Amino acid sequence: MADWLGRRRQRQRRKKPRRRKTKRAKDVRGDFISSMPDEILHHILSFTDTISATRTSVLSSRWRHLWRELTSLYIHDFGPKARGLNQILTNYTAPKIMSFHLDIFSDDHSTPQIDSWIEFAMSRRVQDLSMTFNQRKYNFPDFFYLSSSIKKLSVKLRDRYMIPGVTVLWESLRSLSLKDKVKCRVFRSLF
Amino acid sequence: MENEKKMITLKSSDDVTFEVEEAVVLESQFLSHLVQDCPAPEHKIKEVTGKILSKVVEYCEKHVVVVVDGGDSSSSSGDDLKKWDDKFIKEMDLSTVYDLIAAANYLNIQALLDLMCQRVADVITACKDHKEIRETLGIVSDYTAEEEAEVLKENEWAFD
Repeated sequence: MADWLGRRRQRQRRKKPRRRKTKRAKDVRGDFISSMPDEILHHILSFTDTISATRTSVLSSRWRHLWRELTSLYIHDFGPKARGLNQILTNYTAPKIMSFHLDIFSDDHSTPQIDSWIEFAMSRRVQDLSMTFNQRKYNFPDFFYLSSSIKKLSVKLRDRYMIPGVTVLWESLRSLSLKDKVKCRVFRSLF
Repeated sequence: MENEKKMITLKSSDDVTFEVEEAVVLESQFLSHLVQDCPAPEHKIKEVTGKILSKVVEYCEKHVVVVVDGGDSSSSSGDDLKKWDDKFIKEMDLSTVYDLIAAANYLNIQALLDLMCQRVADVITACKDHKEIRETLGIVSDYTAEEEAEVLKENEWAFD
């Protein structure tokens, strides 16, 4: 970190006399943001939704792969673009996911498709999993009820049942939130 | 009791000095270690200019006061703090935001770092396309026309 700051200071010294500042960051001192370390750029992108983060890959080669390493994914209302979401997940390289938030408002997605998204999050040892579904006729797969990594789980469904076909085993669970008329038989097997 | 507050002087890279209460300095993990390890009355922060250090001090002073005063009315003071943060960043130019990201990262002030990174993220989200992001954030593309077309094609669904 000190090296990064040191380099910046040298660059500033060479640049005197200082130019008058304008609104555009570029006018002041070149492409400063791209010189920030990966951890800072990841932190910035962690405050955007995942689709916006993906778009940054086209900014320059410095940004091309940054989004793939984010430890939190926030995917909100991507409509019927399942292909896009599959592409995101295929290109995603971080071995572990801290949080995965998936809001699906379209009901065009097939059950195996949704299962695959949940499986993806669970295979990356997700700790904070949050999902909103409007999907008709969807039941969570058995593997959803068996996780040693999930600490915080939030599920928002419309008039759906959660009926586990297995004994629920969420070993690390500390916080559970079920909203909007979730008819649930989870508790009996959980406690 | 009020009179016993310990004051510490911070000196920026360009020798601007700020006299602040010790509680303010403790908002920074880096400075609190520095103060503990080296109990001098004045500390030089070589990596931060006076202009940026004044913003850092302003932010930390505000946050320390609200936390201390918060006591029994924590929720309303939390709202006030949020409003203050919004105002703090609203008219800040991106060049200052970048400097504050560097300073907050160096001084290890997580809440300030989060606030500044959020500001940049909001710009990224608000821009209509990658050209506008580049223009606003001052990013210089090193892609050839062919490379850019290739990356765009990879993620074309995201650019609808």
